[in-house]
Amino acid sequence: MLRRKTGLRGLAIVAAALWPLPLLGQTAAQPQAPATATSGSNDTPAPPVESAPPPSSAASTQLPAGLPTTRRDYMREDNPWDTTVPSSRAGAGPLAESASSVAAEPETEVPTEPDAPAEESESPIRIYGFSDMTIRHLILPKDSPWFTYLPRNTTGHVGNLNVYFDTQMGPKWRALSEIRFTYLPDGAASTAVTDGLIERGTNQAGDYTEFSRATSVGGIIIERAYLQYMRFSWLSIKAGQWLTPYGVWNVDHGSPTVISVRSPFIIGAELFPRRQVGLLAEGTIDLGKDFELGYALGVSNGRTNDFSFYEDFDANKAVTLRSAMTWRGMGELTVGATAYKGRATRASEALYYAGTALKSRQQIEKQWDEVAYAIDLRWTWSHVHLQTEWIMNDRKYTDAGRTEAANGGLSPDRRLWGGYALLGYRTPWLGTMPYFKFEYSPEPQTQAIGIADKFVMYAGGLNIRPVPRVVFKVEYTQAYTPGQGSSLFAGQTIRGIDLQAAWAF
Amino acid sequence: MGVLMNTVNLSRRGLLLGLSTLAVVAITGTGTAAERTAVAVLVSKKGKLNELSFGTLRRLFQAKVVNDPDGGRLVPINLPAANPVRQAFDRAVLKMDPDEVGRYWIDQSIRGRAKPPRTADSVGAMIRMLEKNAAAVGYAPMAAVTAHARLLRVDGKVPSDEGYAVVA
Repeated sequence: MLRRKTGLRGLAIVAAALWPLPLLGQTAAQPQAPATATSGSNDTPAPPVESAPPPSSAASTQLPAGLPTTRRDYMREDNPWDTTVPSSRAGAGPLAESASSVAAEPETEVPTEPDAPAEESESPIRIYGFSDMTIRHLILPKDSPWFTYLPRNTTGHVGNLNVYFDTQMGPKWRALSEIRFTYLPDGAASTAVTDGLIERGTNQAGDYTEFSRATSVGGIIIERAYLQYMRFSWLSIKAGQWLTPYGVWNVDHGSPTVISVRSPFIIGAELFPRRQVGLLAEGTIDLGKDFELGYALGVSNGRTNDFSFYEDFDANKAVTLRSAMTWRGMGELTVGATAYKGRATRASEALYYAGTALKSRQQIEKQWDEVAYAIDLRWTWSHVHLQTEWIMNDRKYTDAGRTEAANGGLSPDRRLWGGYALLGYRTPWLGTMPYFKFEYSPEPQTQAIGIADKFVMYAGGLNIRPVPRVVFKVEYTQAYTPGQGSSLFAGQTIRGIDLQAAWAF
Repeated sequence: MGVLMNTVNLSRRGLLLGLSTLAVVAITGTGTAAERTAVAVLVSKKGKLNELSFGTLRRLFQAKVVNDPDGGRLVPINLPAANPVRQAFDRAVLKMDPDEVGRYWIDQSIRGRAKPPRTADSVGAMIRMLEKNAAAVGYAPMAAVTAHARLLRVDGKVPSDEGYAVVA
């Protein structure tokens, strides 16, 4: 009963904390002195070990079965329950209990400064990553128009090969780069439909080490690359390219971490930019035993992915603001809200003469102002997992940047919105999680060429994680495009089965 | 009997049965240990830290930034994942079993967040780390605690106190 009351009260507090949250223009979470900084100090010292009172009850200090019971046993390097005694010290024998003999032990793995490399031989850079392989089988009529975008035959592909370079450069400094290796642009399908023909490009080159035989050449995608300064729990600053910290999926993003095979359409639609280049301040503030407030505030060039430009073509910097409340009273519940405001510009530079003087001017090819809002919820309680995100984007073209639409008119301003919800339950059998996902999403790419406005999608599957680093997924998906008339693909249902193996290394 | 049941009733009953099964499995899945294990949280004798809240201790061992009274960053020290004391500590503080802990740290690294705390190979090595590093925070069973480290109060309590929080 008490637990239930606590749960309801916690939910009410989370709701109350987020209800007045301004989505844009105001920071809900102002940095303040961390509770941890002050809670860490106390004028009343804990008793020294020698004077600590004896256990008042056997139940409160009982050791797990099979553990040694004496101090000497624990201090032995070869104690029987510890399986990780380093081989370099194997046979060194039990340690004496005296301070002098302890101090005489090798100090190689004892850091004297926080975050200092533990050993001289330890590299300050860690390299790790993840990868996946997916087999996709679509259940469609042989003449379905969807085969212009989706594989006609059952096919396997390596979708992600992401490598992280993670460097701790000091107690407060860290650099992280994540690089995705990809087969693209080799074999990429054209994204424009002009004459009903979808062609695939090639990116081949003669390999000079192999008698100049044609070799397909892939590419890389810089997922993120930033320098991070971490001073307090309530303040960390990233400079570089970072994943936009909205919701759950965009930051989780790695195939072993996300539960389903595909990312939700609403994430792929990029109503928020997937990544940005600029500065990002983040932090969390402890609000007592069970509550934590997190925030993020970013200033960047703005959306880059549409144009793949690393340069800002307008003076209008984009702002991202996120606030999230976490409650750990009943599992872990995080409710967040994020807003983004920016201008996206595609432009070229032109030279011209003013009299005899050479000048340049910018020619706007495409430009719009946009505001995006997102709310998200993620709740893990015992073995139940629930997450959902809903996103809206308003785009308004500038006078100079309004482009021609597919129908020959001018591109209208637009509002897109959508979301998804995923519910799963992690069973103890090989870490298997049955899950169900529902999606409602616009699809800007197919919208732009007038073949489908939005998708409604249901997916169900199993996420099997026998060990933390390896995940197998089986997923059935059914999707359709609601609407009539203007959408050429309206009424066309897609069904498919995906099998995926994902692993972290 | 089932054949005679109308579809609506069957689906409602099935839904209720499914939800109640889910709830029972969820509740029992958390585990109800008959024996409670208290784990002592230890700090260096060189440091000034005397107490942490339970929430701050959890944040520290989630590798989030936690500062000591002087503003320096505290350094959590873990035992190896297979160590029963580590598992008891994780259950008590992170509320996770070993599989969940493994998944948690893999997922955190993919998200680009903090790496796991440094691991001491044994309780003896942990005690030595605490001796050398004024910012280090570790843990051990009471039977293993030596004069080379200090007990840290968690929410104002030490393991012998009633209501001590680091109990699995």
